Amino acid sequence: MAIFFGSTDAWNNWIILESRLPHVLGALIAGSALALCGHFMQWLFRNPLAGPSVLGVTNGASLGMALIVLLPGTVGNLIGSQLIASFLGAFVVLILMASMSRKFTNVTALLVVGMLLAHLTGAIETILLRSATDGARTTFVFWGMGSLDALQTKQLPLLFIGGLVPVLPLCFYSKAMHAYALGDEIAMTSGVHVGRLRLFFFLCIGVSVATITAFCGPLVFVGFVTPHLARIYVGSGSLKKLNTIVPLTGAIFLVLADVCSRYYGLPINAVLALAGLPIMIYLLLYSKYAQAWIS
Amino acid sequence: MDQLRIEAKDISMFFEDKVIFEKLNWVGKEGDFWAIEGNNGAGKSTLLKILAGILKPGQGGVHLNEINIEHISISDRKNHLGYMPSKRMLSGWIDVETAVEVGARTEKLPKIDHLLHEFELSEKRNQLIQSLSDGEYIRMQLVRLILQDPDVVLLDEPAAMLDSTWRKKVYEYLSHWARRGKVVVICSHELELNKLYCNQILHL
Repeated sequence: MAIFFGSTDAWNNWIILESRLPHVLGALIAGSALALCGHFMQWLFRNPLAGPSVLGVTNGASLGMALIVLLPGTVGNLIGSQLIASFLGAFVVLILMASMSRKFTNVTALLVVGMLLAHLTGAIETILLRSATDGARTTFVFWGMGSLDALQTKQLPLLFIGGLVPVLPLCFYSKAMHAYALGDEIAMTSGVHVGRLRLFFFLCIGVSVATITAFCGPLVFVGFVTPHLARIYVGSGSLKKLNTIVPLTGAIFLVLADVCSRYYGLPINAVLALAGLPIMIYLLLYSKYAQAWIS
Repeated sequence: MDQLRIEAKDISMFFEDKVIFEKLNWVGKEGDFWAIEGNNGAGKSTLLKILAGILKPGQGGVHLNEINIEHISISDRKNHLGYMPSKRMLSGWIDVETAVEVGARTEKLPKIDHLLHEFELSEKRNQLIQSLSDGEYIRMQLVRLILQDPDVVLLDEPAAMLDSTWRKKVYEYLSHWARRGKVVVICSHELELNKLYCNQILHL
């Protein structure tokens, strides 16, 4: 009530608790989780270009969102149904990719399948966009820009449990991942069950990305750039240090991007791309670690 | 304890319609230093991968002390079978020290300093393995295998990228390893060195 009668303290409290806090905490959780996802995917695919969107999971979430928002007669205007649809979309792709990972022994083949799936979901989305109403189209396009605005304090525990918790256990697999970095053959003769390791990582990363995308939309660049940034401080030689620094870097990166996006009134994905691109080009030109990964 | 013995029983391998080898029988015993020779495409690397448990043969099986290796868990297998591929990974994102610790027995870890020095890798210790030359990469793999200390050591072209001094040193080391009670099996085109150091040769 004090809010309506002009108490500055109560107004400030409301701003902090209901507006600023969910954004900052949400950015910390999503940033650290996406950074860890990207970091582990780059190791898993042995490819520095891998990121959370590569598995097609983000695109699956996007398709789920498109189906619920753009199809006539669906209940796309409810936040809850949007969350469920994007999570289900991501999960269907995840199951598809996990079953493919059992068929393909070559990780590069999986990478290609992920990219093809992204094109397929993109094509379906364009078909849906053509026949959608203006309102539905606007909702979908704004969701695609990524945003932490819709996050509420009560949603944070779910974001934490679904987004960050699934990838935390992966930090304890450093030894297995070091063996994996030397190639499947050496990993297999060093006590690592390569197929199971891959499946476990896919599932954990998939659940995490699906949850974050459902809440915040498809956030770009965080999972791709921040692992490269973290390697500047700790090098690339061992996963133990990286597993701590990568999530910290991701969290700081997304919080700063969120602050900039609010200050300049820009969509967060635009800020992430505007910041991520020059950082990545700088790293490629001047960081020996980024160069070592790309070459 | 029974004498160490690794045996390929009636193994056959096919690639599409092509027979790579058929009904092959082979036995490696403690102290054996085997060289597998043959033309390109004869199936040397394939046989080595089957012995290491990386590939499943089309028919037959590999037995270690009379136990089919498929019945040995992957975590336990690393104590018995060590493998070095001929190709190097392009994504060498870990440093030399971390790489040599892969699969290492805990009791062997204090030897790292000495081994890195012996294989002239001390200065490269904190460098990414991607920055190593081909010869250094092979030496790094050998240090890794020494720390893993498996009963059977399988190496695909261990001397291919080495200079003449290191080629000789590596053969001497492998021969010494076999004499200490291991089974060492290599694929190699170094016919002279094979003749000089290996006590068993298999032609494919």
